[in-house]
Amino acid sequence: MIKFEQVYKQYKGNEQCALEDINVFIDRGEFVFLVGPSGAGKSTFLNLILKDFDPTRGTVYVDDVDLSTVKGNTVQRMRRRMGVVFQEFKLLEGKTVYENIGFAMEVLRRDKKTIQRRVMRVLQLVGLENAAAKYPQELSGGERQRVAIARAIINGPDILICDEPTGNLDPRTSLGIMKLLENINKLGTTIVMATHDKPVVDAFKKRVIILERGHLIGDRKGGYFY
Amino acid sequence: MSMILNFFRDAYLNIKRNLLMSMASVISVMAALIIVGVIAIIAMNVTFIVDEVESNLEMKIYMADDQPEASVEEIGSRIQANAHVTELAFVSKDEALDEFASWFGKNEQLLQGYAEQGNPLPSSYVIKVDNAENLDQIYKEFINIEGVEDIVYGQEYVSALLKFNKMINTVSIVVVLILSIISLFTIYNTIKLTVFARRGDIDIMKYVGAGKLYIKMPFILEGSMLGVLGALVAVLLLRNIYAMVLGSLKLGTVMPLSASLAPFGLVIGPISYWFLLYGFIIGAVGSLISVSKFLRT
Repeated sequence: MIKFEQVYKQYKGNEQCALEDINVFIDRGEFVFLVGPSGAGKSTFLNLILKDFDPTRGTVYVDDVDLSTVKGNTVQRMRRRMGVVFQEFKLLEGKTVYENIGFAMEVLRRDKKTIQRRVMRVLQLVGLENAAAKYPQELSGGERQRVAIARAIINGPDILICDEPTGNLDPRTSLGIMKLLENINKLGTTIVMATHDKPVVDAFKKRVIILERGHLIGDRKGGYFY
Repeated sequence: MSMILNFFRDAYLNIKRNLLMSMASVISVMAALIIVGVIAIIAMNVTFIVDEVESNLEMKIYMADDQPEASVEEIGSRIQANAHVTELAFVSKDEALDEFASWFGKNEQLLQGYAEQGNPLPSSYVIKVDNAENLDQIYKEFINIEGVEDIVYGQEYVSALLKFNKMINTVSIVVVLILSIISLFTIYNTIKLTVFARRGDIDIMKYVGAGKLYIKMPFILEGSMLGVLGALVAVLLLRNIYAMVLGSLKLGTVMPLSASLAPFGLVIGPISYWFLLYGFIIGAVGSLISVSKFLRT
C-alpha cells in the first residue's frame, strides 16, 4: 500500500537530512504508530505520503504508484483517497459541524442528498449525531477532533493520516478518539498516526515505527514506545 | 450554475468573516487610487488647458502693401491648400483700420489723420491650424513668398507652451505609472495577508482533494470584489471632490474660472472606467498570486 524506498529528504538551507535512507512498507489495513521526539522526521514522513513535496532522493509509492510521477490534477485525485486529521483540528469556524463535514464532499461535487445521507451516517459513527447544527467553537476539544475525523473519513478514504490527533486532548478523551480510530481501521482503512502519546501507544499495541533524527531506529509489530 | 453561486456566496461570507482584513484591502486600494486620481486629474486639466490655448492660437500673415489683388488672392488660395490650416479669414486694409479704430472707442478721431493721408495698415490673412506644432512649418513655407511682408504668431510663446505641455505629459505619465506600481505592491501585500490569515482553510481544501480552481475561485472573486469596492469608493470621493472644485470656482466670479478647467465628464468618465478595471484586475491577480503560493503542490 505505502512503500518508502531509500528515501532521503533534505530541506533547502538545512545541512542535516530530515529523513535519511528510510525503507518502510505499510500494508493495506494496517494501523501504524509513527513515534519519535520532535524533529525526528515524523511530519516529513506524513507530508511525503500526502505529496506535499517529493523526496530529495528515493521513491515513495502509494499502491505501486511512484508519487514523484503524479502531477497536476492527479495529485488532487490521489488525495481524495486519503483522509487527514491534524492536532489542531483545522475546522472552518464559520461553518456548522454539518457543513464542515459536508464540505469535503461538496468539493467533489457530490449531490445534496448523498451528502446529507453520508454526513448523518458518519456523525453517528463518531457519536455526534446531535451536534450537526453546532459551530466548532461550541464543542469540546474531543468533539472537535471527532468532527475532524468525520470529515477525514466522509469520502471513504483508503488511508487515514493522523498527525498527533490526541496531542491537544486529555487522556480520557484521547482514549475515546483512539477507539474511534481503531473502529475505522477495522472497517478497512489503513491508518498512519504520528504521536508523542506514550500511554496511547502502549495501550493499543499496534505496529510502531520509531524515528530519531531522520533515521529509522525501530519497527516492531505490537511494540511499545521506546 | 449552483457551483458559481456557491463561489459568490463563499466569497461574500469570507469577506464578512474576515471583515478587518477585508477592510484593510479596500482601504489600501482606495488610498492608492485617490493619490493616483488626484495626480491624474491635475495632469488631465493641465493638458486640457494647454490644448485649449493651442487650438486658439492664431497666425497672422501680412501682405506687402503694393500687392495687386490677384496676387493676394493667389497667396490666399495657397494658404487654404495647406492641409494643416483649419480656418482662414482675410482682413483687408480697411477692416484692419476699422478694427484698430475700435480699440480707441470714443477717441476714434485720433485716427482721422491716418484716413486722410492713406491707410498705413497692411491687409492680412488670419489663420488657425490643427496643431500648434505645425505653426513653425507653415511659417517657413510662406515667409519667403513674394508678396508676404511678415508672419506673426508668437514664436517664443508657442515653443515654450509646447515644451511645457510635453513636460507635463511626461511627468504625469511617469508619476501615475510609479504610483500605480507602488499601489500594486501595497494592495498585493494586503491581499497576501488576507490570504495568509486563511492558509488553514486552504490547507483543509487541499487535503480533502479540492481542485486547484475550486480553491482559487472564491479567493479570486473575493479579491476582485474588494478591489472593485476600493476603486468604487475612490471614484465616488474623487467625483465629489472634483464637482466641489468646479462648483466653488463658479461662485463669485464674472468670468467663471471653472470654464477653463476640464469638464466633469471628460475627467471623471475615464477615471471611473479605468479605476474600476484596475481595482478588479489587481484584486483578482493579487489573490491569484497569493493563493497560488500556498498551492504549489
